[in-house]
Amino acid sequence: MNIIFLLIPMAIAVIVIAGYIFFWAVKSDQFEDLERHGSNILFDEDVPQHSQSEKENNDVSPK
Amino acid sequence: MTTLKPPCYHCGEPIPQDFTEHVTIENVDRDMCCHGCSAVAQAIVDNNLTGYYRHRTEKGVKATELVPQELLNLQSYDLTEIEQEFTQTNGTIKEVILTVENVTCAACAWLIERKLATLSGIEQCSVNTSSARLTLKWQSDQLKLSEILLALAQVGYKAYPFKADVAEQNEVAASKDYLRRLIVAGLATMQVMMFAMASYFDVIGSLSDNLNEYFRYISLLISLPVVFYASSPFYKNALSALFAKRLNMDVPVSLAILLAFIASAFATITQQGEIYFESVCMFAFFLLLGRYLEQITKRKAAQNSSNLLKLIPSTATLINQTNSEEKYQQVPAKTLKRGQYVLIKPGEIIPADGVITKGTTQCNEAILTGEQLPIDKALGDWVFASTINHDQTIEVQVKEERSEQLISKIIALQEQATLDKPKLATLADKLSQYVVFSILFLAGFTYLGWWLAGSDHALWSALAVLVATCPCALSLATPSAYTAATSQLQQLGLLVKQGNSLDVLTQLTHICFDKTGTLTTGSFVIKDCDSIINRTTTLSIIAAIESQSTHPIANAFKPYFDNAFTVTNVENFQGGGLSAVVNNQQYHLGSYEFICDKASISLPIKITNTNSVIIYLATTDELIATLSLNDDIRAESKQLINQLQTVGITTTLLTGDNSKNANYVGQQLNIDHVKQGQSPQDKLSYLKSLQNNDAIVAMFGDGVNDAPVLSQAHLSFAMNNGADIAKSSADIVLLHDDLSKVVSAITLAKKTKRIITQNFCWALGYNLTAVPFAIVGLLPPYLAAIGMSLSSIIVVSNSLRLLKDIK
Repeated sequence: MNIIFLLIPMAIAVIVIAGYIFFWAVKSDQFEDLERHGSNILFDEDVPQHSQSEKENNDVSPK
Repeated sequence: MTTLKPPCYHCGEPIPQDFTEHVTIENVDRDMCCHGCSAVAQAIVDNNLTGYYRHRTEKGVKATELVPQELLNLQSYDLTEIEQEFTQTNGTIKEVILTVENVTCAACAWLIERKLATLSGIEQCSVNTSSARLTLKWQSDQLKLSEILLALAQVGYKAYPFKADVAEQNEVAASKDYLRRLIVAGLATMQVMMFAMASYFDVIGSLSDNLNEYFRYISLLISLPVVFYASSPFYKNALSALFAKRLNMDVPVSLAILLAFIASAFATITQQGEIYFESVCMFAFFLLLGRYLEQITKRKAAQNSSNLLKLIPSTATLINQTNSEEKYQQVPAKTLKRGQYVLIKPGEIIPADGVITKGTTQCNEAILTGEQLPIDKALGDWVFASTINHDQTIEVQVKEERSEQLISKIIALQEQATLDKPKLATLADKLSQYVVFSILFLAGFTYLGWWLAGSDHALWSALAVLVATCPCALSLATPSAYTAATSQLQQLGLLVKQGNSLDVLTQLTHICFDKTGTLTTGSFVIKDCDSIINRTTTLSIIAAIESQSTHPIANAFKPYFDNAFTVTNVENFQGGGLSAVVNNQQYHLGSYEFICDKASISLPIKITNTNSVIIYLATTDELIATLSLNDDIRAESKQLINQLQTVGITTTLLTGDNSKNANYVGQQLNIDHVKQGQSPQDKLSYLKSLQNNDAIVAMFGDGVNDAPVLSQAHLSFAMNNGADIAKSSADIVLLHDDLSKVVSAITLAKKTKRIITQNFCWALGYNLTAVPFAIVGLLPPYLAAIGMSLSSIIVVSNSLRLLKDIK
């Protein structure tokens, strides 16, 4: 059972890292628009069926 | 009715019988309802963006082509002084955040981004669909802002710079802050709960003593950030309330968190008694969750309300006189100086208060006075900033600078009224006082009782009382219900800017209404048409003559415009009427006096005792038609006033209009009191006199002249078509101008109040049941934790019932 004295601090370290990643995500506006980016993948899927010019548009499209 | 046509493929609106345009989208001919929609659909096809149609989840919005005035507005965004107000420059790269109208789904965002990506010079563009904002970076040497806006207009979206509300920036920062605290509390709660579980099962005695002690110290360590970081907003609010000699819900919350934590820490170090770390963490987590959701709603409201405050540039045509030669220059209106001369064309907004030095015209001053019909302005008459010039091009000498203008004075009045606005205490605030005292009393009483009885468990029993009475569910009771109700109101098209609006809504005793633009639509409709020829023909002739006019009456005839009637030689007679040749026949259209003057005919006796505007159409020798026009009362107004009266709310019509029409509207709608010819100051004093008689007053308005009253009223509603300042002063904005929704809002507010009362009853009931057990020392930590979380969940689920569709 003694291993638990080591494992718990390690678990806490992981929690701290997770917390840090969350903070980073909040700071970089990842939670700003939760509705939209989920459906973006649908649009990108269509591109090959279309003409050349759309592909060009797609290349310069900012993400 | 002939065969039923499918609705417009672009916007989903019905297609007029005689309109046959269609656009080929992905090899299928799709019917369109208007030129606007078909132009937009064609642009989407031409740009290979038809993926929009495949993936959109909602129909587009009926597209309207840009009128010349709007095009002109777009160009004035390029004026350096105006552009500086809302763009950030970094070398040649400029950056701006715009609000985009009618972004309904992810497909819109995709369409906008793709369309803009085809322009050369765009560095970055991204659309946020939840706030309806577009962030743009572009190379200013390759592209102008007006070109970007024009490209957006081609695919059917109108984008505007806006005044970011100061409130909005605070709300965004606050919601991020709460999210961080929520995450800390959430992660810590899970950890502490895990260790707590181990000690709950320790009842069987399987844990060794030093492992148990280890768990206690770890729990203490993990609780530290929750108590000292995540919960600090509660302490801050509690302290500021105490400094103001008030008590709010945060006072008992802070007490519970801090005392339970300190006692548990003491128990850990002295190795005696119970620990409540898991209750502390969970308590903080639930409360933060409530606050975070509340904050999100507030932030959404702040964003939506700043989206309403579009920055439409106000420019002026400055006349520079150099050596008897006149030069015209476009300048921002705010830079105008006293004594300068400006040129104002028909249809333009007057940029400053001044005196006419050349020309005569009519001005629509509805925005300042509520007076609906244009007012004649002759040489030497004053014209006022923000009003609209209707008839003729005029030259005006600026007499007042920005801060001295009539509109600035109204704004100053409004700002003063905001400070004077009476605040009503909410139910939660009232309740919190009793809660604080009873908690402290019970805990103290328990400690004293056990201490007198000689028990060494006195402190732990007192602590158990504190945790049992911990107002978790109690403090979630109001915010959760308000949050649910506010988002429900948003569904109804009511943008609520103040959280306590719902509370006030249930207490109202009086409602005051503005007339023009609020109870009425603010535009004229044809009431009677007495004609010797076919009615449609008559109206089409008038529409042809009026097609050149910007007079508010002209709009009433727009739907009858028909290309078969060609109009030439239109002459506009100041304040009287119009003469024109339609299909080779001379017509005169205008007032009684105008027709008597122009046509050699005898008219029937002039009708004077009417609330309508009467106009006549005549050829040179014959009276063709007599028409009466009326400012149309909104269909929903009657319904609203009736329903308000059945719930015992007194109604008053408070209007700047001094014509007979005010009384007519009052009678039609059966309004209790009518006050007409009121200046903004009069309206304000009337409202104050009501408030001094203990009335709880709401105000509905739309114009600049309503802004001070809107700020002063306990609760205020602004129409979406209203002036910016009215919308920013109001607590609630009616996004679809639909007054009947106000009745639903009142119903919802009452339901919210019921739900809040139920929540309070439940939360208090739970606390009261738990307290006796805690006092006698029969409430172990795990039962306290379970009880607290269960009662919180019940309270929140009860609040969520508000999200169910209302009738």
